[in-house]
Amino acid sequence: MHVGDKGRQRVLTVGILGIFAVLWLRAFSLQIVWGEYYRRLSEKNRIRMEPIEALRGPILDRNGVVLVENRPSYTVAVMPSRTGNLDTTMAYLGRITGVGEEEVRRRMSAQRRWPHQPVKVRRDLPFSVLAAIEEHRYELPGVIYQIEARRSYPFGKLASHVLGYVGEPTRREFAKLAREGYLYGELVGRSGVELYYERLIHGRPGVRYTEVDALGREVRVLSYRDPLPGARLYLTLDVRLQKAAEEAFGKGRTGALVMLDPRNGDILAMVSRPAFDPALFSGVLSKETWEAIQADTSYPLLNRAVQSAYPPGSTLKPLTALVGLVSGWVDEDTEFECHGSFRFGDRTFRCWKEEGHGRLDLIGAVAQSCDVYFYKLAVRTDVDVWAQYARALGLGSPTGVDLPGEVGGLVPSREYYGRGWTQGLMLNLAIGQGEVLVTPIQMACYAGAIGTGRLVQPHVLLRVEERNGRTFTVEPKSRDLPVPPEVLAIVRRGMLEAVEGEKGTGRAARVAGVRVAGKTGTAQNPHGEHHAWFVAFAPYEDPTVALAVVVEHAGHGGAVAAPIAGKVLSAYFSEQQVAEGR
Amino acid sequence: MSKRDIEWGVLLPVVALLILGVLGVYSATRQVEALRYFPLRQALFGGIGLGIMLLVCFIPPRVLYSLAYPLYAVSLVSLVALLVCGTPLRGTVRWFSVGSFHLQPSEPAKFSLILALARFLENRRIDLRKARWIAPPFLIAALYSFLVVLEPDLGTALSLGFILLPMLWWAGMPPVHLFLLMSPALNGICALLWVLTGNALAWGTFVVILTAVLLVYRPRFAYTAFWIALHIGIGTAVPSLWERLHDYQQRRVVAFLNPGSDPTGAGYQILQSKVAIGSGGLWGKGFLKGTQTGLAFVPARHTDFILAVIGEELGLFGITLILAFFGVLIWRSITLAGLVRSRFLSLCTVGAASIWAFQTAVNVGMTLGLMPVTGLPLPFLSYGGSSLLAHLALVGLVLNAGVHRYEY
Repeated sequence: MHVGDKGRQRVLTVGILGIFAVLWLRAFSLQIVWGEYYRRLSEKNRIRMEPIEALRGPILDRNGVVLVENRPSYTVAVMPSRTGNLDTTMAYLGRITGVGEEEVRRRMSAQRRWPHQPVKVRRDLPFSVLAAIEEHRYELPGVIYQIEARRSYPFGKLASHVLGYVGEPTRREFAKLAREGYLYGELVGRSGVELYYERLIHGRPGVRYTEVDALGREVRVLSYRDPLPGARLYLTLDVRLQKAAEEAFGKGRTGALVMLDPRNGDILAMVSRPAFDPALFSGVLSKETWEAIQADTSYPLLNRAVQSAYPPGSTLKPLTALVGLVSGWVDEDTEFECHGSFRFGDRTFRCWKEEGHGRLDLIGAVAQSCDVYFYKLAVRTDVDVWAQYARALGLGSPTGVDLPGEVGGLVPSREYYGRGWTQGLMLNLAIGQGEVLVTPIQMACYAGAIGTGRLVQPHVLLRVEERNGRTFTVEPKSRDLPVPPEVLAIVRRGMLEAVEGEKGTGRAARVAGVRVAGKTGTAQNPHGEHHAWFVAFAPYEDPTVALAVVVEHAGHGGAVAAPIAGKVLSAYFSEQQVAEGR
Repeated sequence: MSKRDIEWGVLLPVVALLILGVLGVYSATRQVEALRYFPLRQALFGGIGLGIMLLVCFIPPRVLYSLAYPLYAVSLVSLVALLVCGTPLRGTVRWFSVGSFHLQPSEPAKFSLILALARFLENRRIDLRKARWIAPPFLIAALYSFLVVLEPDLGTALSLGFILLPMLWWAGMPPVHLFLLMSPALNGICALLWVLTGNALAWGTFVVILTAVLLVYRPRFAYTAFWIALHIGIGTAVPSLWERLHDYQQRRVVAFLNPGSDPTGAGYQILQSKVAIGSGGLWGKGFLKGTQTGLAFVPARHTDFILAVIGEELGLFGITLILAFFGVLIWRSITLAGLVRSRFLSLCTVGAASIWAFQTAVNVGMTLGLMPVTGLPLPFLSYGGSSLLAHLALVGLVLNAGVHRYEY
């Protein structure tokens, strides 16, 4: 007798062949029913898509002078799949490039998800390192160089806050950018125009489809779409004026300067101090450098022209005068006596000039910046009316300039103080002290608006030339001041007198052959020396330029800020003469 | 012995599969310089294996019978020695390295396990309803399985444990007993499915069947209590055992259940294998014209995923051919087992047929995305010397049974 009767044999055979039948049906399903689907998948598998970075667009000044361009540089990268010993390669690269093995490892692991894209180890490789790697070429399979475009800045630190800098996005940011077609390791704008106009300047990556062999080597290129370089941006800045403004501002000072055309809002020069070198960010930014910049308490990356709000000091007196005139409490000839101080309620408000100004009319009060005159005016001023005109002149909210991170400053109203309101606060506001805060760019627009009767929206972008030939120019935006022309005329005369008059506080801003109108300011601040202010427009008759200067902790506006304004205005008008002479 | 005694229905499919295997390995490795010698080496091992097959075929059954336990002991020692002084490779210890040769002791262990089980079950007096007769074969298989799990090589351990079931069935174990013997494993699989997918359907079905079997069969109270306690124990132990699995083992199971979850990680193999096979269509892309397997998108394509190469290049035609060769091989072997007069040789034949069936089903199921990636090679086709030699030795055993089919 043998084991396994016929019944058991049948069960075993049928069971096993049944399983085989199921397997065959599965193969049938994959290969026949779903065959077309998998064939399409398999074709994608064989063809590798390789993106090509687009060149970032250059940035030029209004006359076409290049401010930011691209230069070629070497980037050393690793193809992880092609290296021999990954550990030794990473250690060697970390050492020789100065990046550190840890950083190389971090970059490798960060890019696990994109195995066919080379891992960039260090950008902007110095030639000596390049040569060293080249010597060890055969010991370092899988190490490649890429020629990449780097940002370069022909004028160094010039206008660095307007231009901004570029850097690698964080992993979190990249997750978002990837959906918009950004490639791993691409640089993006981090501040200034580079950030604000990132979409225009970035361009569109190209793509290359290649057929690859078993080892991922290219067999042939199947199709190719050129990258579309980023748009060419023409700024409203004028390099010569920018240079003049930065020179005039001087070294070692902190503060900001904005010069613009009050007719259309073109920003001709914008200075913020201290400055930074954007080229630092364009190559490899070492951790130490970045930490040093972050720890710098003078905040060099801050664009003080739009991102800092200061008490305006006496530069606000033209506003108070304007409110008084519009309200009808004073006219051109209204005179007040100044004895150096003014008693209101149980408080004594002092004039900056201890011995007093004597008898002054409105124009004299603006010209000599008499505090007492404005205290007396403020006694009758309604803070909400005052705030309404301040806002009409562009204060208290962002100007809408095309630069990132603009702050709006503060124009307080009665509501802001709530139950703490007393008219005494108005006396302080009238001379630009107290809670009111303004940005330099707001003050440049403010001065320009008084000069022309129209408030413009400032901007730094003049014209865009896209690489597909499309061009567009930024349309200036402005609005009329709700102020009668004769009122403005009186305020302007006061500001003219401040520069041209014998006793004017802004005499240092005079420019030969041009009638300049301006106003000094000395903003008290509890943290130290006063901030020196000067705002101006010129020519008096038909303004083509307006500016605001603030120098932090520098003393009197007339002594510090006005001379800077004078130099910048001289440069502006001498350049204009040259232009007209041509 | 005459020509008629040679079981051509076993020998011819094996030779055909060997040839397809060498061609598949050639196609899979042709693009990689370092692997150029693989098909040659596979052919060489095929030749050596055919020699071993003939050798085994001509050993007198009596000698095989008396060698069964000594060979079992030798394999046991080799498995223990491997754990003590084997060569670690990719986190596991599966090979002894001698020069450029890597011997995998778990492969010959299949051969000696079948001999040992056949030798024990050959005894006419055994009563496979009694625990004292079930326990020894169970321990014989479990010991190997346990040692191989420690390597760790879950797939091979499973196949070693699996051999026991058809051999017990062939030896006359009643279906209910066989079911109860299998039930812990079934319970474990169903419970794992529940843990991983949250779907208790399989486990519920299992419990219903188990209850029905116990109710109908009505074993003694002590046995009933034992089975119920055991199953409660397994049901609660599975989640914690799952936690103790290797990361890569867990990932394989999860990736099997949801290959799309991580297409570049563990699910990659399954997905790429399906793409390769699916894109083959009816007739395939042509020999050496596969893009997926040829372009190395499918990993382990010359070993565990060799079927992906054939499926892509020869299409459904190729897969049908391979399943047909295996089908004929297994069908003829089982039929032969029914004719062989010697209980020992008959059991050996069924053991060989069932291990081919098991490995084929698991490997093909894995390649087609029906089963988790277990790392079991496809007999006769996958690249690997140890596996090839062991399976050809088993063919020798079956042919031996064919030659001696009329002897008791």
